[in-house]
Amino acid sequence: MTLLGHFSLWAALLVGLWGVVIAFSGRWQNRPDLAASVNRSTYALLACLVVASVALLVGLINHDFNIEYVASYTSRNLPGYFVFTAFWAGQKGSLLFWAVVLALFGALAQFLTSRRYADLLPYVAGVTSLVTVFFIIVMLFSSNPFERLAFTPPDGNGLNPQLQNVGMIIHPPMLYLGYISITIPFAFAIAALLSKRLDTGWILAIRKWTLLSWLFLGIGITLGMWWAYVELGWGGYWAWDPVENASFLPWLTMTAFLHSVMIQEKRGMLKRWNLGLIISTFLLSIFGTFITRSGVISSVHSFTQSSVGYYFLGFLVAAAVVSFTLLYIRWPLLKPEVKLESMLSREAAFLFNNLALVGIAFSVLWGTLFPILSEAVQGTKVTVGPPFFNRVNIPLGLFLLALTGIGPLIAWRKASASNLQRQFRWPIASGLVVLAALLLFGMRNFYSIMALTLSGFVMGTVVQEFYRGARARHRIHGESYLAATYHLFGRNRRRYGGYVVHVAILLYFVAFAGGAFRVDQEATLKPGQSAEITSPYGHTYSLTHVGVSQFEALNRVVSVATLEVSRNGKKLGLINSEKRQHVDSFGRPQFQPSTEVGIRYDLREDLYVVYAGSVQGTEEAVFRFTINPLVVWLWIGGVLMIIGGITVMWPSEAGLVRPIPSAAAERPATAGV
Amino acid sequence: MTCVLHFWKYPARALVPLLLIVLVGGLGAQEAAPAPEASQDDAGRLYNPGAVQQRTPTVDLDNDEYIKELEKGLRCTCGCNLDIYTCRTTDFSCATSPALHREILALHNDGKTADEIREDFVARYGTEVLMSPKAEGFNLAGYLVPGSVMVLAGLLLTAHLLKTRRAKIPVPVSEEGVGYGDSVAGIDASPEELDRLRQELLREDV
Repeated sequence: MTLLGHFSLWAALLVGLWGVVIAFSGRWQNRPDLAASVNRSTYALLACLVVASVALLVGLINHDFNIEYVASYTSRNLPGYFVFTAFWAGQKGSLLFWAVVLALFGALAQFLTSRRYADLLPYVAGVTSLVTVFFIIVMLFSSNPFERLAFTPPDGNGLNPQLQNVGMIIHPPMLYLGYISITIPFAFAIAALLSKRLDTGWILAIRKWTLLSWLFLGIGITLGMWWAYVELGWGGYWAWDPVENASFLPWLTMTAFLHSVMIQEKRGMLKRWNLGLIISTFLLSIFGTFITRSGVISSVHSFTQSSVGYYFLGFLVAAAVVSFTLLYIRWPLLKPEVKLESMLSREAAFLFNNLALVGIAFSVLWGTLFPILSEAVQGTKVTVGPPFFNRVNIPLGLFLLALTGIGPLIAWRKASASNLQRQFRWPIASGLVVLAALLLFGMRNFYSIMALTLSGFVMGTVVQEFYRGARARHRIHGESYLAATYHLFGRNRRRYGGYVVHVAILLYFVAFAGGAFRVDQEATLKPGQSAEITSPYGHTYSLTHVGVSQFEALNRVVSVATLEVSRNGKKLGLINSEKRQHVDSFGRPQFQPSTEVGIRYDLREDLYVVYAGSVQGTEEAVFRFTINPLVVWLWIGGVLMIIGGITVMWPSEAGLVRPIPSAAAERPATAGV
Repeated sequence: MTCVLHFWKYPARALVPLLLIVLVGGLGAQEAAPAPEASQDDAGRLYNPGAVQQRTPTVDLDNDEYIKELEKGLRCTCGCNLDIYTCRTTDFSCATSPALHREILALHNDGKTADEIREDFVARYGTEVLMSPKAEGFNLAGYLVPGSVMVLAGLLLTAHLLKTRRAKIPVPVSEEGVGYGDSVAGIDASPEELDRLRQELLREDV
């Protein structure tokens, strides 16, 4: 199987290079057979990489420990589904996963894209194949998943216990899918620049891809938060770790693009800016991979330091130089069709929204790279941790939240004073009601008050938009308000799906605001003893240690500490937290004991219990209790974000029933237009 | 003696009592062994103490907010990138952060202030031990650059918008010789804008 895997990678390299050479040589332009060959090469590339992936999976499933990767990340007693997920658990396997998914997306882009963009597709195939070839080269010359050991060990090292969590089955692939799918919009952008077809056509061609990429990244980031929360046992979900930051950066620029692209579609403005954003987003996704795999910045997430980082750095620099040079060359062809008419317009609001999003991205990037910069300039290493990022980004985040509410209220082109008064009245009132309630209940944390007040304002905006739309349908069509709201989605999924995403974002801010009131406490309890912890809402939890039981399950010895929980004297039930000592197939301990937290979810707050360890090997246990206010809204927001994102991507009824011809979309760009 | 000779003559028959002895002995041994489902002995010891981390009992200062805040500003030196408080309370597998915690408690018990403890840590572990750099010298750039760039970009954007919105936009001419900005039926809009308007009206058709 390793032979087949090796062979498939080499075949993929040759096929990919063929596609790249033909696509960029331009010889296909007068040769339909060569154009078709470029197209077919993407499918052949996919086939080669699928064979290589199957070869690795067979090696994993058959416990072929002669393969170094299989021996490093699996063991005989590893549950079957984690054997499967070990495919992307390590550096080498994840590179193959990246390559095969990119090849799949590249082939799908060829297959699904409308023929009206046929002149762009060979270039698109060239770019996707080039990026795939880069990953194949990294595998073949630096990090080969089919590398063999000189001997065959009787068992493998097993999978890190923290990766043996359901969140890790979904979280890494989602992030990878987000990172990888960014390549398709980037490929269309480069194709548009190369072919000088710089109208809004290429923007329409990538609309679904950009949304897909944004959604995958968003889901991946949220799942990462959830995994950190339920698995790592520190009670938090975001630590501003460089690798977390690296995933956040392309999400921010992609979010900026999703807004600014509307201005290009509706007003023909910001063509240069949008191309810059797409290129930057792609480069940031490669930058994130570089950080994760180079070891240049210390991170809790990093793969082992290896020469792979140099490959990514070289590719990052080359991609940046080529992309921005191309953008510079085409600069004169990208003049806006119209200019802004008023500062009080939705276009201006979107520009400031872009400023905030890119500003946050810049500050996160700056903070992430500052340790390297500091070492280069002053010769001393510094740490840039959460205190720095919170200080810089919280005000920017609040500004962005305010714009989330302001943007939809302002008219396109130019808003009048009466229009502004009519639009802002109720949203501002709802924000003020929230503010008054918070002050009445004694909240005094400035940033939390601001976050919740602005959330109230944004919610007011969204409710008003839905109410007005539903009322109009109710009046015109005589529908009930419920039916009218449902049909609003059908008529304009992009607009109303977008509002659902705005609600999701405000729920994230609600959860962040709750973080300021977190309470935690450590306690050592013998069976029968109790500890108390007081919630920020004023009630008191009593936790009584029932005992510790131990048993063997699957590939581990499990120690479960059980506590009885009551709130203000009223019994709520039992809560368990575990320690898991993983063992190999010979029963020998592997890794440090890991933690499984006990969480009692509530809309107001989570009660979070961690069994930290035992005192002198007895049932006397050390616990950490945490009360995390409003955390559950983060997960609800995540679900809403998925619903909103899918709603936006879903084909609209109007689009299905009555396709709208667009002269603007089809017209090739000319200088000065 | 007859019995021994009998088994000597027929060795296969000797297996029967031997099997009986093994079976009875085995059952006895099984009864004597501790029940596998019992998780701990009577004294409260865990059945498998090695399967959980061993911890020292909590002391009052472990829950002291002053100590927690201090530890949140100091980085654990184990390489995890986390602060001491988060590291020592995360998964409880690090041996370095509890040791650093004890160092902090010892310094605190010696009467040192938070600033003195921080300075002590910087002297021992370098400036890296601070979770955020001191706002002095080149580090000021770390704090000031993001905000300054944002403010500058905001001002430039505002200035640009104010300038361009007043400027008269040159009207490009299409191949057919009709200016895009030419009014259509008295409407001050280009055909392109009218096209977009038509699309928007179709989309916004509530």
